[in-house]
Amino acid sequence: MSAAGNWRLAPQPGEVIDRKSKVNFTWNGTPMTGFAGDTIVSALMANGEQLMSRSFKYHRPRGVLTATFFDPNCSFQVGNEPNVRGAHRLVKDGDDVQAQNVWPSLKTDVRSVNQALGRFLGPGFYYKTFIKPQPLWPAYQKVLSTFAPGGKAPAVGTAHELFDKRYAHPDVLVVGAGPAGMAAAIEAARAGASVMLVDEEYEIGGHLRFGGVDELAHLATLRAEVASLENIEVLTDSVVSGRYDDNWVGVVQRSGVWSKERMIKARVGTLVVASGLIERPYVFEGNDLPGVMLSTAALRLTGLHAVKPGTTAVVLTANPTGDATIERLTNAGITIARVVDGRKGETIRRALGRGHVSGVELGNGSKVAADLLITAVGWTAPTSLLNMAGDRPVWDPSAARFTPADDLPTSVLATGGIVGDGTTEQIIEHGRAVGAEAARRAAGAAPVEIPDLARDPHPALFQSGTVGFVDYSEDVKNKDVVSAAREGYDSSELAKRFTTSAMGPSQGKYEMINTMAVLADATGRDFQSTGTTVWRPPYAPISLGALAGRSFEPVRVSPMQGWHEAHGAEPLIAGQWIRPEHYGNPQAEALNVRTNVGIIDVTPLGKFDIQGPDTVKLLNLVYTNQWDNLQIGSVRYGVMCAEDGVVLDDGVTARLGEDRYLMTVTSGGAATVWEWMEMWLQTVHPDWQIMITPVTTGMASINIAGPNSRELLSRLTEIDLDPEVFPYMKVREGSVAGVDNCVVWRIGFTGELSYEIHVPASYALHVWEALLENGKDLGAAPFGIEAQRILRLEKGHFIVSQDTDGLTQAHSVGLGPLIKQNKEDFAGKQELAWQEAKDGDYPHLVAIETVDPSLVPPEASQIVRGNNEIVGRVTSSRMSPTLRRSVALAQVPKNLSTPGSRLTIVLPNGSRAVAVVREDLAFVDPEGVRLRG
Amino acid sequence: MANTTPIARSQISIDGPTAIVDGWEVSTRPTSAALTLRDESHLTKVVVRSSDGASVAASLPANGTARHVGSTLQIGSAPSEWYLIAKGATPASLVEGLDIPGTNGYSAWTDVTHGRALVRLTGADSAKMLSKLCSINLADKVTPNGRAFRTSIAGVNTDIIRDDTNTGRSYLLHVERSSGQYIFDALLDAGIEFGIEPAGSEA
Repeated sequence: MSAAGNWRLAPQPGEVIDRKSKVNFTWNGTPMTGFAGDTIVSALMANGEQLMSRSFKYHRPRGVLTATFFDPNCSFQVGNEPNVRGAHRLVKDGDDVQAQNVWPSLKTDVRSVNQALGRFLGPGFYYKTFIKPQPLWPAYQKVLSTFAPGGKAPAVGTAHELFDKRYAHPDVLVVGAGPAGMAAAIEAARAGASVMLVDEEYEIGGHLRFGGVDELAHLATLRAEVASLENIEVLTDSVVSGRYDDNWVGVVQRSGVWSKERMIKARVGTLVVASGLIERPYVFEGNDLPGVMLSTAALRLTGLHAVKPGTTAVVLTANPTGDATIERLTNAGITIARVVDGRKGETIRRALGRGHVSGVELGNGSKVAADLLITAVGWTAPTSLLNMAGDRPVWDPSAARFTPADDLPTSVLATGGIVGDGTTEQIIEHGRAVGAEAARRAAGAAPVEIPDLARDPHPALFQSGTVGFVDYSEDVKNKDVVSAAREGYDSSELAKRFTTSAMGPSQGKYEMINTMAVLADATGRDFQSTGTTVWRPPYAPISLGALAGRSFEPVRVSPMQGWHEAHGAEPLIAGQWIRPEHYGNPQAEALNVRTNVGIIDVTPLGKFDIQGPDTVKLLNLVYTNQWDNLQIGSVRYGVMCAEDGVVLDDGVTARLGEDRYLMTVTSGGAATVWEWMEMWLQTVHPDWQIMITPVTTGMASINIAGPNSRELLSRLTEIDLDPEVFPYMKVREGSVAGVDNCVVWRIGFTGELSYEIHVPASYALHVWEALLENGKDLGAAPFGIEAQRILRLEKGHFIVSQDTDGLTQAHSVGLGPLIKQNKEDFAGKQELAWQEAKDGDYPHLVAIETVDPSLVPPEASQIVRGNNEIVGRVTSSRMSPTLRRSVALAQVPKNLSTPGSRLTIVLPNGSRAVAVVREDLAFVDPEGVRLRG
Repeated sequence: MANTTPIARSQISIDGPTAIVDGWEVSTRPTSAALTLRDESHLTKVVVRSSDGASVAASLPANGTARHVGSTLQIGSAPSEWYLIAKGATPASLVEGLDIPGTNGYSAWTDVTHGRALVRLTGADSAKMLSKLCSINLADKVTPNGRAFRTSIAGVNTDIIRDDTNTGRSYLLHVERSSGQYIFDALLDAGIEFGIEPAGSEA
């Protein structure tokens, strides 16, 4: 219904709209205006719009019911954002607001024909109707999905907004900033506690904001007190989503932050639940017609947004809030056609009208013309957070609502309407006492006496006897609950799930008590024994973005990363490390190393500074080979095995001084090896005098490889590089390119004459650039990880975890000469002894050549024999630019490991390739002449 | 041999003017922001480790605390582990007078000047900002000035020292050098809502 006329009231004392600031928006394509501070719903109502949506199942017309975030009838599509809570979201200039799930229009929705089919759409109809024949289910599913409620999700690829996360540790967190909550926060803060005050609304104040003169006076006083206390952090438009063990509390900030939403993970000293009361709807025929609304909705619309909810009203009241609404409506110029007093046993039977309220049939059968029907029949205590803290609320029949039991943990307190009733002064007094007690509990001070807050008597009004809706979100009627009970779903949990009552977007806040009241009535039980379902987190819907929060993806880079990027390096992501895979042509880079000289950034190599007189003991323990005789100035290769003999890592260690060593390990294995060594030292040999310090990124590493490497390095260092003085597997310390404290060792992974320089990282870029500058005439050029992989494969060097796996023991990769069983002990000794005793009956790493030299079998290709029996796999393969043919390593069983054995490799397309096992792992320079030159 | 002049560079890059100080290229970017983030990676940094109960511990602060001794900030960063930080000092000078390797127990030191990225976050909102990235309680009663702790910042293992300056609340954070730029960027990103700006160390 759209009604002409002026629906905006004269200025109200507590209004939150800014009449000087107009907001232009569209509603289903029609231009409209509102004021800053209007919600979408209040702006629509100010424009005379009463029809907000169509219901989920029957597509019945719906209007404003509660005028809160949880209003079940006011979800809209705003731009590309679906399911916007229009009774809460403030309207913004340019908003394109659309009704959801209607066709062809909100006013004329074809699917409202479902109302005529209502008798066939009872609870559980889809369980029963579509169960057979089962093969047709996909077709049913396709049709049913078109009836799914809600708006349209943004298209894939739509830019998403930023979501944030934060941690907090308040001494006291107060949920709800009504009079009790504000008072609690104030008193807790005055006691010295750090306080977080959280409220769903955009301003603190709770119901005082839309109250009368007295309430507004209290509001001003309390707000001023809150503002004066620096140790109160106020979070508005925020909701406490759940309370978990040890007072871990989730808070979702919906606005007021630089991101769209922020999840706050709060570890709270004392949690104070001051969440007030939720007004409960009344169940009667036509209770979902636009024009039927709660008394608090009318108070909000008139008091906060100065909007007239109707022109002629019938008011069903059973409490002071209903009475106050009558006064407010009267003052707003709305005619009160009839007051129905529930305290006197008066009631209403049904709302009349099609599409909107046109009248009300009273309990005595008389009819009253009206376009507005206000109900004020009772309250629901939102005990969710108390439930989550372990509380099992008790039904108070005299007040017709649940109340907290005395079983709360000491870290949780409650105050305000959820506890009891009283004057505003009494509620504030209770809040202050609870706040002081909360601060005391958080700090461990003396107890505070908390006054009683008695509950006022209230008639138990749930349904009128006619058929009405208990759940507006899911279109569940009271007769559906009765039907469920008859079918045996007579427990609260079963009835909820069978009828889906309380399972919609409001999550039972308006529906649960009425549903249970109907169920209690249908089963003949009392309310306490019927109970409610268990309230679980989250209290309110949370976006997936808020749960995801900020995404952290740490990266590690070497000091030369900027240079690599500036020179066109293709990045390789290796764990957290970003490395240059190549600079455009890895084959050419590899050839340049073979013919001239190349430099590679190998900074991610794990490096450890190891000091102490017992270091040799540790080396002998973690490596399989012998370390007793390593001389100062020498480097030795070693392999580490786990206790099961499986290859764990490999690398080299240099002895730099009497008790000082530098160990390098694989890039990916650095953390594991550190833990491995510390495990031995801390748990088995705490008496050994050894200190290990990771220096992986303290020393950047550059490998200079190729026949011109000696000449190049000699131009930048005073270290004597004469091969007689500085031969293979030796280490020297000195300056390179003017940088002191460099460690240079003569080793290499490429099979070429190589020097590996470890440079104090802050100077690494300087050294890198100096090498390239001074090596121009020598053909110096950078090479990346891919070229290094090619070169090492040509040389037949294996890579741990590439050519080995979680079952590869050391003998399998030809490390027999490095396994010294004559040592007293080392990790994996016994397992490797057992492996050796198998006389070669285990997988072997071999070099293979495909018969077709142009064929590069993909890594991980299976090696089969006979009738497709898998016997091995290709572990590494590349096209060799040096040999101009493919080269590969493979794991094969003993009987296929002898040189000359022919292997059958299964290619991805299913075809077979034949390869032959080579004599030696090295394809290039098996004698090692080049690297020892 | 080539004649070259080495310049030390931090892993962290800050837009704006720079100067060479003690052989380091450092930012001189001026700022008047209330919340600032400075790169202090050029400070000399040494780590000392010892066996349990080693004599060197008597001369160094307890685990989880930090103190200034002369121009050196001594930090008890973990059980039997200390970081020593100073400006313009040689690494060896930081451990002068300490009982290393020790009359009792065993201890050793390593220069980690080039292995650790060090930044300083200063401003009244620094704790609020950090709370977006780490779960530690940064209230004064839990982590007062002089408290040192190790935690995760934006997913990176980070050493943090509450080290207030004469301009107010301040935190030193140091991480593996390779993560320096990442952590610097993550801190700046988290600080946008507080008006954070990078500041030059020599500004």
